[in-house]
Amino acid sequence: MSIKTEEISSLIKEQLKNYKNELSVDEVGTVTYVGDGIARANGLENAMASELLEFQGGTFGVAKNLESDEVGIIILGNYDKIREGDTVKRTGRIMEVPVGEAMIGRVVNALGQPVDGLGEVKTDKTRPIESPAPGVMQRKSVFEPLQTGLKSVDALVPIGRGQRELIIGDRKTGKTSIAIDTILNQKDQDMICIYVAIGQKESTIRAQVETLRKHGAMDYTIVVEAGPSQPAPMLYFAPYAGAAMGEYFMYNGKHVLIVYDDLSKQANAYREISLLLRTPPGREAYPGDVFYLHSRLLERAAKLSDDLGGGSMTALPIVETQAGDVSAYIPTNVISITDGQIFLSSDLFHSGTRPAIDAGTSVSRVGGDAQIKAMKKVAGTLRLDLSSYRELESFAQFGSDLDEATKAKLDRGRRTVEVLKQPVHSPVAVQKQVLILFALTRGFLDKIEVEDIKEFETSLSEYFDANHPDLLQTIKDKGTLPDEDQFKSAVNEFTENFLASKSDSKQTK
Amino acid sequence: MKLSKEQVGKRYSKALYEVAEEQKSVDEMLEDLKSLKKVYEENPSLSFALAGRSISRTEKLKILDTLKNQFGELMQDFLSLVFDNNRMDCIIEIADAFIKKYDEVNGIVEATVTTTVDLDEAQASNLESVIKKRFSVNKVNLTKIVDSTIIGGVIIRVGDQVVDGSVVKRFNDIKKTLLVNN
Repeated sequence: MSIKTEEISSLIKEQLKNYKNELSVDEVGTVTYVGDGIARANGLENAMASELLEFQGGTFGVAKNLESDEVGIIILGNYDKIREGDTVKRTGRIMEVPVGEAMIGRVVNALGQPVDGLGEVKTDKTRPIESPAPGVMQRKSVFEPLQTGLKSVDALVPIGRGQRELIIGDRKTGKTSIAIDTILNQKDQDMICIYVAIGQKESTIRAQVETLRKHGAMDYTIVVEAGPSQPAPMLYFAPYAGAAMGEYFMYNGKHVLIVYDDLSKQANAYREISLLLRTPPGREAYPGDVFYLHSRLLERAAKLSDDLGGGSMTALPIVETQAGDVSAYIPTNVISITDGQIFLSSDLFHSGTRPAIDAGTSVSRVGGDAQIKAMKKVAGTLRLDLSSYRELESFAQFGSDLDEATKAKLDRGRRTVEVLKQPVHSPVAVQKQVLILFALTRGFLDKIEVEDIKEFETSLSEYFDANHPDLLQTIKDKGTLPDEDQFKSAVNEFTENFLASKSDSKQTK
Repeated sequence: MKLSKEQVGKRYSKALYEVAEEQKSVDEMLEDLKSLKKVYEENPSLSFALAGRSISRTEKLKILDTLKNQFGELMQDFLSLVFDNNRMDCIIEIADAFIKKYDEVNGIVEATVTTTVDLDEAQASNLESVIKKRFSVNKVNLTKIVDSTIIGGVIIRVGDQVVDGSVVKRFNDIKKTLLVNN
């Protein structure tokens, strides 16, 4: 097809007609200092906090510190072309990022520009990156469950839509895997996921995006990335940009899951910027407003009231600890802001319990309301089983004679731990979770050898798919446990067959 | 924390202005400071020589004497004070702050006008009257800059305010509208 030049020129003419030749009156300042990602400028007396400023060369910045005769500016993007003596102009706007349906499936940077090489993002909607969180009357208490597909999370620390659940642990304990698995499990759940990677290695992000793509999760996911090679302001702004993209969907009545991976790196970037801008350092050299940095971000996650469309934004912030120290500054801050935490222990991880969730210290403050009834019934005693097992475990290592009750507790505990183990990227549907936990808590598993449990679980779910799909459907649709006797007899029937086949294979050996 | 040069300039000029006001020699001071600033700007090495460590104090005093001989008594005293306080590198900032203060009190603005061709008297006075009206001031000190890169039109800068009527700016605006819409 040949390009119609006439059409194009008439289009341009039309646009030029709209161009108004107006004298512009701007307020400018002069750059007096340029440093790593920041600048200071004289003048700009009427500049407002967080206002977008434009440098001479076209680079943008955000006013952060407003002092008596200086303005501290965070530079967005390239700062190697900015020189001392350059002019900075006020724009009267605040920073915005593109939002909308077109963002889904894309990998963008903190400014919303695509970095996946798939061309420009075709959207004309934008949202300011900082916006006030929903107030008291705009919210509703969390009641719908968000299924992570992880047995240990859904059973022990259930997460509801609109909740903020912190994932915390040392390096290499599987924090990101929990978040990615949760995203994978949102397939066909009418959820939009946003994965904000802050300071993650570019190669890791690449691998994560590939995982998401392979499992078909990129169809409903936006990835916002700010790599470690980018200037600190990008790392600082990335979570807010992600939150703005999520808010757009939330206020349109949709459900959003947003993962901030991880906030300790964002705090480090913010510390760098603040120190360069000469904000007085406080504990661990973080500036005084580092708490507000995270609280204003996490408060934007909410379950909206029905008047506002009933949308929700669930946040899964991730914080990395050093040597399990949760009493460091950033972990304590974020723990106090969130509605609970999933604590990952490196000891458990190395002993093969994966996901390495520490049941004793992990809690969910609102999730209980959001658990389906069936799950509540089967998982009720789980936490108790686990904690008494952990308590007895060390005691039993001495090998002394144990009474029957203690032995039973230990056996149950060992099986519980085994059932909660789950390989990465293999989420389990909620009805299947209920099924295996039912078998566990009603004592059917006590007769099965610990090493056979994995096999038992897969065969059990296959057996139910083939012979009792109605029972599974009841759990899925109604959320309640089916008739207990019927359910029990079905599980019992399978267990006996399983045990019989096991003893057969033993004898043939 | 070390004071910035601007802060030093503000403090010294405020003190000097108040003393000059008492002695009713503000205008004289202004002229002195302007010429001093000119000397500094014409000889960039002067600031280094007087404030640095490269020459001895007695040598510095000699230079200072020749420098201050041409000024009145108050200015001489002031220079000695600044020298004793090791602030000779801030003279330009002090002068700037003094001029700013003087302008503020007397309703004068410093305006920079950038054009492609040199303005004649009539054009300049016309511009001045426009600026006077627009910023409601009594007097305008016009600094003219000729810069052919703006292609045409005028850019007027008064303090922090810039009125941009250059052709280059219009071209950029058109470029932006076309880029955003397509």
